[in-house]
Parts: sequence; C-alpha cells; structure tokens
Amino acid sequence: MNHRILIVDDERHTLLLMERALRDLQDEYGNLEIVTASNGEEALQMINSHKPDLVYLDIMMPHVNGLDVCRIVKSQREMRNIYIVMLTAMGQEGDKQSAREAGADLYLTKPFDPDKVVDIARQVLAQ
Amino acid sequence: MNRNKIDENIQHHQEYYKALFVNNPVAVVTTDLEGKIVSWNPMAENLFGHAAEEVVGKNLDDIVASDDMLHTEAAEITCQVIGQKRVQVTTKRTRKDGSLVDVELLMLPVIVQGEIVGSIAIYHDISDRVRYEEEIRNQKEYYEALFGNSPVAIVGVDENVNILSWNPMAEKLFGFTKEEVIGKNLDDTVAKDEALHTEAIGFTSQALSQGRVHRITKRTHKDGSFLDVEVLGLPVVMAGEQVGFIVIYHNITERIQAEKELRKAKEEAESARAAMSEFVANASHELRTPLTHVYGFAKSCKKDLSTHIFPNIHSPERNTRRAMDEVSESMEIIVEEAERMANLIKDMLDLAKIESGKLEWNMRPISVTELIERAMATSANLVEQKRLTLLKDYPADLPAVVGDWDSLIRVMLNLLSNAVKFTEQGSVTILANQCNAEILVSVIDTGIGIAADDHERIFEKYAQAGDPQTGRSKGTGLGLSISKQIVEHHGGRIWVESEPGKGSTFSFTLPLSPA
Repeated sequence: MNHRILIVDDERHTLLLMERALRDLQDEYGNLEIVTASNGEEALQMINSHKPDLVYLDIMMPHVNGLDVCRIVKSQREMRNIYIVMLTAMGQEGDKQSAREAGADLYLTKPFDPDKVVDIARQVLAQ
Repeated sequence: MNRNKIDENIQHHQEYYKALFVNNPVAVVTTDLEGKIVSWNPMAENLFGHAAEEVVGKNLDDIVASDDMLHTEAAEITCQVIGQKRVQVTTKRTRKDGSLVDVELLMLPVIVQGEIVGSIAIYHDISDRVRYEEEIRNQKEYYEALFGNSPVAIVGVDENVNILSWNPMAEKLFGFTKEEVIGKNLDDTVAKDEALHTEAIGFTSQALSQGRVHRITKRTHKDGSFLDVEVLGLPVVMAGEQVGFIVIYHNITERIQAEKELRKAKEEAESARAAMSEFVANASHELRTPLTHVYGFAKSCKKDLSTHIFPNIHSPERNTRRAMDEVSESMEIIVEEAERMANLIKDMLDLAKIESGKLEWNMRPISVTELIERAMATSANLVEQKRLTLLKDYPADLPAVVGDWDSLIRVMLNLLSNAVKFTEQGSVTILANQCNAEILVSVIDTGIGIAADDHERIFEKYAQAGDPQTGRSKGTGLGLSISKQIVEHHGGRIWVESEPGKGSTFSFTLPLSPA
C-alpha cells in the first residue's frame, strides 16, 4: 500500500531535516513517498493532488498560514482523516488552543527532536 | 479761726500729702534748686534700690544716672526744669546695683508762691511696657517675614473683597505690584475671565457660609494668561466680627505639569514594556527555528557517522581513531548544547512573560495533594537512577488552593529535580500542611546543602551552583527564579533553609482558595 507524507515549512533546512529523518522509515515501509511544500497554497495543491496520510504543517508561513491550511483540510469530508501535526516555535497555551480549534491532530513545539517526528510517523502509518 | 484749729488743718494737710507721697505707686523724688535730693518715696526705694536715708542730700543725677551718657542727659533735664520747663521723656536710669531700668520720666519745677523752690521728678517703671513693645515688634516682624517670604501668594481682603494686603509671592504669581492692586476688587483683578469671575464670586459666598473654600481652579495673570492654582479662602474674624478674608493661592502649574509628565512617562514605560514583550515573542520564534536545525542536523550527522561511516573504517590509524572519537564526542556535545540552548530560550521566554505580565495564567481550584503526586510520578525515574528514597507526608484532607496547574507543577518539578541533583545518597521528602490561611509545601533533601550567603542569591536569575558530578550545570540558572515568580504571583512565599553538609529544605506557601 502506498503511503505518503507531506512536509510543509517555509524553511528549506527544516524540510531537509525532516526528509532525512523520515528517510529511515522508507526502509521500513517500502512504498513510502515523502513530498514537500514551502507555502500554504502549495500545500493545499499537494494535498489535493497527492492525498497524503500524514502532514507535518508549520504554522508560521506568509499569506496562507498553517492554521488556515488545517482548517480547510479538516472541513472537507474526504480529507478529514488526514493526520495533521502542527509545528510551531510558540509554546503558549493560546497557540495550542488555536491549533486544536483548527482541527490539528497533534502539536509539536520547536525545537523538536527528529526522532520524535519519526515516532509519530511510525504510529500514524501503523494504523 | 483759733490757732489750734489752724495747726490741725496744717497738720491734716501735711499728713494728707505725705500719704499721697508715700503710697504713690510711682517713684516720686523731689530736689532742691541745686538738684540735691530732698525726698525719696518708698516706690523710689523700690525702683532704684537705694534707701531714702542713703540718698537724701545727694545729687539726684549722680544717684540715678550714674552712667556717663545718661548723666549728661539727666543733668540737661534738671537744668531745663530748674529753668522752669516741664520735661517728659522715655529714657533709662541706673539702679543701685548698676543695672539699667527703662523709665518714663516726668520732671517739673515746684513753684511755691510764684517762686521755684525745687523740682519734682516722677519715674514710671516701663520695663514691662518696653518688653511688650519689643515682643509686639518681634511678632510683627515675624509675621511680616512669613507674609513676605511665603512661598504661596497671600492676599488679605476686606468684607467687600477689596484688596488690603498683597504679599511678594502674590506679586510674583499674578504679575501685579502691591501698589497696583491695593484697594481694588480681588476677583476683578485675578479672575478676568467671565466663567472664572462667576466662580470667584461664588467662592466668596461659600467661604462665608461654610467657613472656608478650597479648590483647584484657574486664575488670570496680569498678561492675560491662565494659571493653575489651588485656592484656599477663609473669613477673618476679629473680636467676633467678620472683617474680611484671607485668600491663599498656591501655584500648581508645576504640579499639574509634573502629573502630565508622569502620566506620559508611565505610558512610555508601558509601551516600552509592550515593545519588549513583542521583541521577546519574535525573538522566540526566530531563535527556535535555527536551533531546531542545529539540533536536528547534529543528530542526523551523529547517526550517519555511527551507523554508516565509522563502521566502514577498518583498522584506522591512531590519529584517525582519535579523530573518529573526537568527532563522535563533538557531535554529542553539539547535541547537548543545543538542548541546553533550547531550555535556556524556553526559560528566558517564560521568565520574560511572567515578569511582563504576559503569561496566560489559568487559575482554578487545585489539590495540592494531586500536584505532589503528579510531580513525584514524573520524577520517579530520576530518583531511582540515583538510588534515592522518595518520601511524602501530608494529611488526607488538605484544602484546595487556587492556582495555575502548569506553573505550579513546574515549581514542584523544579524543586524535586534540584533536590535529586544535589543529593548523592539518602532521601528526598515532600511535606505539605495547612498553616493558618496557607498551605505550606516543603521539599527536604539529604544533599550537600547551601551556604547561608547563597540562600537569597540562588533565587536570582542565572545564579548557579555547579553540578557536583560534572562540575558544570546542565540547568539554565533560571529554574528557581521562575519558581519564585510563579509562587509570588500566586500570593505565596518561597525560601530555603539549609547548611552545607546538612541537606536543604525548600519551602513555599500558597494561599488557600477562598471558601
């Protein structure tokens, strides 16, 4: 079965970091495809075209931010099951609240441990 | 008339005048034409100190004006009197003991049947009067000084509010000299604006009806500009009659200006604080992203090295081997330092948020028991690793407190992790008890203890005691500082009791939830 993970972040290094970390999983899951997007609009396009199982979504992006993307995705019935992990530098209760309200499934604060990123992916894909 | 009757009459008259002389309340002295003392009444004895027997026959001026300057004056007077003149002066004379006495002297020629036979000198002791006059003069000078030097404008007006007195400060405040305003109506002079004038007239009636008026208002300067003043007006009552008013003006332009500036400074401080918080928030975001990269790539690098590269270097040379070990160690350190930076950033931001009042506190009823249990559960591993015993002691029915769970748990974990960190063997005990209207929580360890000098210092920012094992602390130095801010925000106190070598007891209080 094909699995797809989408990483969305406006920072090139973050994309690279997460791609590298998740590469290990590609050995475990033969048909794992990892794709990236660097802004909100691109993210929505990729979600529509690739229908990923798991999306790592940075909140702070210009124009269309991560919360917007999350809200849009979660409001559409056929996309509601996509597992969304929000990434952010802020750790305040208020931000967690916003993420929850936007419909995110999980919330990771930077700086995060790449191993944790992999653990989450492993758990989500196992389902 | 028969001879006896005449003698009786004469005697009666003599005795009468003698009585007048003797009982006179003023000193009366008579002299002959040469100025020698003929009679000296008891009051003269009293005033000058000489007994009559001592002075009769002696020259009056020598006796009572023994001072050189006075003697000249006295002789001059005597001369005039003998020349049939009447002299009345206020002067001084000398007593027997040499001291001076202020007197009013009335000296007249004594004329009997048209011929001058001597003089009569009446001395009225006016020491008291001189003293009173001086007292009055001093008081007058004193009050004039008050009036003249007063830092507030003082204006005296009559019952029609016409100006009677105008002190130098009034001149300075309103710009009118005393001469320009005496006699003029006060309100017409200093309340040249229609609204102010109406108000000023109202003050007069208020001062009358209520006994005083005290307001902050404006008045007008001679040049037409407005002044901010504090006005105090009181009626002046003398001998039961209202004779006018005294009005005091205090120039508060400076005070009002100062208040404005204070308000402005406060606003500036506020916006500076807000700008700082915003900076802190932005810095947070900015710093965390590159930190994620440093941390992440260091880990990735470490993994690649140990999994894919080093295993493929077979039989490395000594230098290569050493380089491999060093690279491994370097990567470890980079990862560790990145973690340390992450903690530091997090703590700094939290502290800044708390201090600037920007932290979101979620206050609700909290069970201290639950707080302790949760903290103990989280720290269990830590405690086990060091083979320490974790103990607790608290009553089952501890009342609830109001607090923010996340921050209170943070305080508990901070104290627990410190206790474990600085204890090599023994135990860590958590106590909790109700003490009046507070809950007291203590974390007691059997560790290395803290010197008295450091008891306050450790709660300051970035103050660290070294980790006994590594000699360098992995902590951020902010843990206790943050704990202190949190406890104090809840209305409690935090402190330590400790002696080097005897362990430490960290305690904090939390006020009870109002019933």
